[in-house]
Amino acid sequence: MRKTFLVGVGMTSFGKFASLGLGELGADAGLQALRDAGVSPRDIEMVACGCARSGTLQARESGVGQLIGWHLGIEGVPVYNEKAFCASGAMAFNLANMAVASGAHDVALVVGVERMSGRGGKGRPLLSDGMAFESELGFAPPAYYAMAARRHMETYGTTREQIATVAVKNRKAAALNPKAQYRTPITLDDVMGARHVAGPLGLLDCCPTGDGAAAAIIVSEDAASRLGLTPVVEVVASVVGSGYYADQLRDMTSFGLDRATATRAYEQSGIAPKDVDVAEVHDSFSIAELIHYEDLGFCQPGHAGRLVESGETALGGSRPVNTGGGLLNRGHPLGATGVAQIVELYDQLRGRAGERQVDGARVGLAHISGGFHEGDFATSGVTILQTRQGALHVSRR
Amino acid sequence: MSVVGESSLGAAVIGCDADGRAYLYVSRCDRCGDVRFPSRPLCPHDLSATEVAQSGDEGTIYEAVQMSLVPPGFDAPVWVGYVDLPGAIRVFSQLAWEPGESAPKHGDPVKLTMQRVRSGPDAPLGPVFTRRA
Repeated sequence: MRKTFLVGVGMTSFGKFASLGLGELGADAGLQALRDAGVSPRDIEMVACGCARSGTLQARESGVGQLIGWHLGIEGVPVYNEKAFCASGAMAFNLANMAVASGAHDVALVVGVERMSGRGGKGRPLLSDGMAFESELGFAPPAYYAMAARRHMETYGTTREQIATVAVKNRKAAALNPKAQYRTPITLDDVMGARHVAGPLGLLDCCPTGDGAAAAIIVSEDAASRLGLTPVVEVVASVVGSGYYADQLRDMTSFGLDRATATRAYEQSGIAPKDVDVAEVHDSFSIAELIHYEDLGFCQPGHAGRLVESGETALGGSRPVNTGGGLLNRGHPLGATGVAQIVELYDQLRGRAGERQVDGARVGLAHISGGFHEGDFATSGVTILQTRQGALHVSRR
Repeated sequence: MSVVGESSLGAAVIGCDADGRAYLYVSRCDRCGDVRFPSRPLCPHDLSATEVAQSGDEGTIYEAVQMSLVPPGFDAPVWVGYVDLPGAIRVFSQLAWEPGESAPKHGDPVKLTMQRVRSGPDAPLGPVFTRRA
């Protein structure tokens, strides 16, 4: 397999944009990425598009990627559409990266997009595609994470305050991200006093729905040379996996699928958890971020509450997590999120993340979960990006 | 009256015998003994054809939470949880818990019943666990 590199990214603001369609949103992010990379639409050899719920939410079942390509003047090339729940954008990224790494294509555009503000059932939890039978009984994702929170609290003594700290920390980062959906600072009291949703979780422990798109361009070394680009951010691991459904008596304080994808990503890249400078972690619910710390090896099982409390995962800490605000505050237009995580990491590794810049960041990790099936997650993805040695901004540590 | 599973899986997930004992329709693999709920026509381990069987009605709560923000069609609040049944199966279900009773928690013994899972004339019958002495 060949080395692959990111050369440009783009992203719309996340929020509620009733007047914009999937095509306009995706094209906005795609155009930003093309301009950021200095690549023309005619240079794009393939498009991979992630969009989870266009059918049910937008009456646009097929061809979202083709629609975005049409807007951008990208013609005659293969366009792949990925639907993998919240991980749709991450799956599209994985597919495009595989295509470039394999030598099938040299220049790939990845777009993640979702439009949710017009959905029915507003003010109610979004149901999960993979849990149709359970949904007949009232299942919704907040209940799943609320049960995981209860198990984590009882097993390890994790406190409600520690869980709420995730929401406060990520909102503080979002305040520095002009593209985030929710930016007004909040306190622990705000989180713990918010409207009750399920178990220990309230409204500010849950990510919002919204509209938005993000895009990235992946190239091979050959293409970079041909196009006159000097890539500085390498994709050193891109791993996805599906659930382990057979063993139903799973321990909800840890997610086995995430442990598996993380292990494979660390093996693929030769990078250890301690080497990660900045991370984007799937905080669809505040408790999720804590469990992911442990499954990604950022701390020992049971220590995540203390880790977030220590401030080490906040901006200014030793390994900031969700510097763009996370799903909780940047927003979570399902298909866009996996690519938005890549956008944030790329900006961090390029040293252009403005007020939320992590000094000297050289290794970034993105983790995403996608959907449920029979009590397990349906998808998990881990991507690791690394700046080329000596290519970029110098460590100031 | 409709039964949970008919619209989502194409078959009811629960039944009730003449004595009023509720059971879930599970699948059992004759070759490896694997039990599945919801039932599957093929064993996920060896892909041999399975047989439909009835679950027991006594289980233990793995975890439970009260939902105040519920999906459309449900009346808040609702107790839901994962219940472990013999055969190493874990079932997502509603829990019927009276106000004033101590909250359901990990390890509590429960009994399977068949009840309406929502209010309203179209509400289907489905699995609801109650406290077991």
